[in-house]
Amino acid sequence: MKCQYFQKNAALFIGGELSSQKTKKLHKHLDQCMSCRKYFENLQISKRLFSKAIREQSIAPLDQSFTESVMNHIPDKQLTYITPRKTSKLRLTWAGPAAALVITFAFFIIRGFIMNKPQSEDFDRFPLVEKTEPNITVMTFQIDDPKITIVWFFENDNNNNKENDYAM
Amino acid sequence: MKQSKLSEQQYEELKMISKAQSGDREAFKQIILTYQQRIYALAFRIIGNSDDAKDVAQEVFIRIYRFLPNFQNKNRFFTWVYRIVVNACYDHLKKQKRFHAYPIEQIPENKLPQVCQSHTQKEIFDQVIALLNHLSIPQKTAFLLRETEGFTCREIADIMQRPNSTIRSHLRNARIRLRDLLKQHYPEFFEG
Repeated sequence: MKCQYFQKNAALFIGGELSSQKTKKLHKHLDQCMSCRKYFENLQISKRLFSKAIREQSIAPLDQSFTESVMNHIPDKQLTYITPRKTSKLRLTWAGPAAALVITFAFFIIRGFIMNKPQSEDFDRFPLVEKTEPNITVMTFQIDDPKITIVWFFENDNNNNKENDYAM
Repeated sequence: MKQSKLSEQQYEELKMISKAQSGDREAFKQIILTYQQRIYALAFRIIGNSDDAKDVAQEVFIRIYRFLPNFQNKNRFFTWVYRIVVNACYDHLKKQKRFHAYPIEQIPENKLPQVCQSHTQKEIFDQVIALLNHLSIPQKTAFLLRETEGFTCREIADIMQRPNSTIRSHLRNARIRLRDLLKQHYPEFFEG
């Protein structure tokens, strides 16, 4: 065993936090290597000193007033079970597929527009003019692929011809 | 014999917890009396200030009362309580923006322990304990839980909600750092 390996594990070795197999290996190395023994002893001294210092640290005991103070701060009402929020997890589960679905739809719609961009002659080919009211003229253009309908409403004013455009 | 006594204690504790869960204030008072000193001591060691530790301990009991109906794994009550203590201490330290201990180079001279032959053992111990403030808060917490309460790495991992390997790493780094600090400030301990 290399000293580097021993020194890497020595800090856990003194705390008894290694597996029995590793502990045996380190014990064996410790019997053979003087420098690692010194390293181990220093760690042990430090650990013992800190343990003793912590144990002997004087911490004033809490008195009855502390208990009373806590009891005064807690509410009188009956405790109720707080239901864990399960919905958030559910929402996250569905958010991914929903987003993927929206993106797919958007992709196909945009692709359809790009691939089948309506040409100006398409509009010229199918002008449909309807006259429903005496003072309003409705003009409709339709294209089949992609299906687009443009409807124009012309307000027939005797004095001033006003146009209102509406597109659908 | 010891086993049966421990089981009896656990049984009494479980009964107390169940009563407290159903809203029995007297049972909750018993829980406070059982745990208050240990909770306060741990908070004091992590935070390092008596008044703040009292405030944190009070906050801990309020949180315990609030979340007690949600507590289900009755065999691990102490782990659950200590988790609340550690979280409350972290929250407190975050508020005070003292979450990370400052590196040794930046520590003002008067905060470093002064080696003096005339110091009593208690004074030396106080100065040795002051060295713990040079550790990061997670390192210090893991070290204190191991040394004061004797928790295993797995239990500490459960309390601190970190992987077991992280806790082992914290313990290893804490011990090496403390050995180095002690060697730096008290070389006489390592002589001979």
